[in-house]
Amino acid sequence: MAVQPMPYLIVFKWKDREGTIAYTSINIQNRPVLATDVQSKAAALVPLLKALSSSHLVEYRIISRYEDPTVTGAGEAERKGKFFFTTAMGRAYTTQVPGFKDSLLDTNGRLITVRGTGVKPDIATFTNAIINGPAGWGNSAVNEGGQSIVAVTSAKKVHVRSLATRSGRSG
Amino acid sequence: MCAVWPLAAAAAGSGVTMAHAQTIARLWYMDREGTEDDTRLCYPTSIDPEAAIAASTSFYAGVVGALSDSPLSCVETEFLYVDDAPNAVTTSDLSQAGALLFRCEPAPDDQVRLSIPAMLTSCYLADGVTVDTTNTAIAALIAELLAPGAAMVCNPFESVLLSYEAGMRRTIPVEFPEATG
Repeated sequence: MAVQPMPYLIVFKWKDREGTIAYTSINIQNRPVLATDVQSKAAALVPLLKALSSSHLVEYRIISRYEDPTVTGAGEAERKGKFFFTTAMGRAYTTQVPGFKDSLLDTNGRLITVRGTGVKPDIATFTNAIINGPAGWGNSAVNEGGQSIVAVTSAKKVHVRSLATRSGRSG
Repeated sequence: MCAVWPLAAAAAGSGVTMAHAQTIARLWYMDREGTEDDTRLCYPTSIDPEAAIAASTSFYAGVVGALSDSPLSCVETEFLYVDDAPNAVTTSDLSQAGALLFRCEPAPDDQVRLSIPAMLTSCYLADGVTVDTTNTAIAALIAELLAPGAAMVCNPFESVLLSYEAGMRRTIPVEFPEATG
């Protein structure tokens, strides 16, 4: 089953003088609505919320969510394919793929070929997608600072505990 | 092509607006034990939001999903906005919040509670507990939350807000800063 649209989530993050954090969360009915309409709603709510609180509104996130409520898990999330890229300004960028397929590893069972000969087609498609972006974008994915990712440098399998928590999850 | 450095640009701002700092895709997988973990990608903030969501749910979901034994359980696209005065000083106690309760339609038994941390004392009646709906700032927020339009506020099950029910002071959970010493 494919992922289905869920309500948008707007999460406002507050901070007091001691750095303590609290949140205000608002759901927005998902369809039919454009993301730009949700952005407008959030922007309209910012001054209204600020006017009510003595704490500091430091950021807010608008989260579009598509979930598969019937998904049955498989594989091991701790087995990750870790990919190392470089940006146009020479900074390193990494991203990882949980539950990484054994069949995409080199014969040594540890490394993933990403350059030169012997690059598996799914790996090449992935790294090209990061570097070039979807057709028509005219840009690649970027690092956290907004620098374009321009080249893949290496990749390997790692075992890392999964500590991330997904928004909208209560358990 | 090089994008601008959005966080740095935001930090140099006026202290009034919230600047669009990042657009982030998070592709979540579920393994056989139910553990979820994600692949994160950042998009240029210049990308149209609908195009960003489409890229997450179709293009990157397919490309990245082909590398994993674990199926995708959720695809998120986040638009992060940050205050351009990140070190503003406050004197507030975040654990004391104003809680506004709303009813929903088509299921009036469904309720939504909106917490506003460190709500000003001027927003309460003389008892110090009950939210004062005659306060113009409170009334403006309630009106915006109930306003018809393209983006309708709802509960997590997509029931749209129907009416304001009540409001009171309450204690909410907070996250304490990390220890430094």
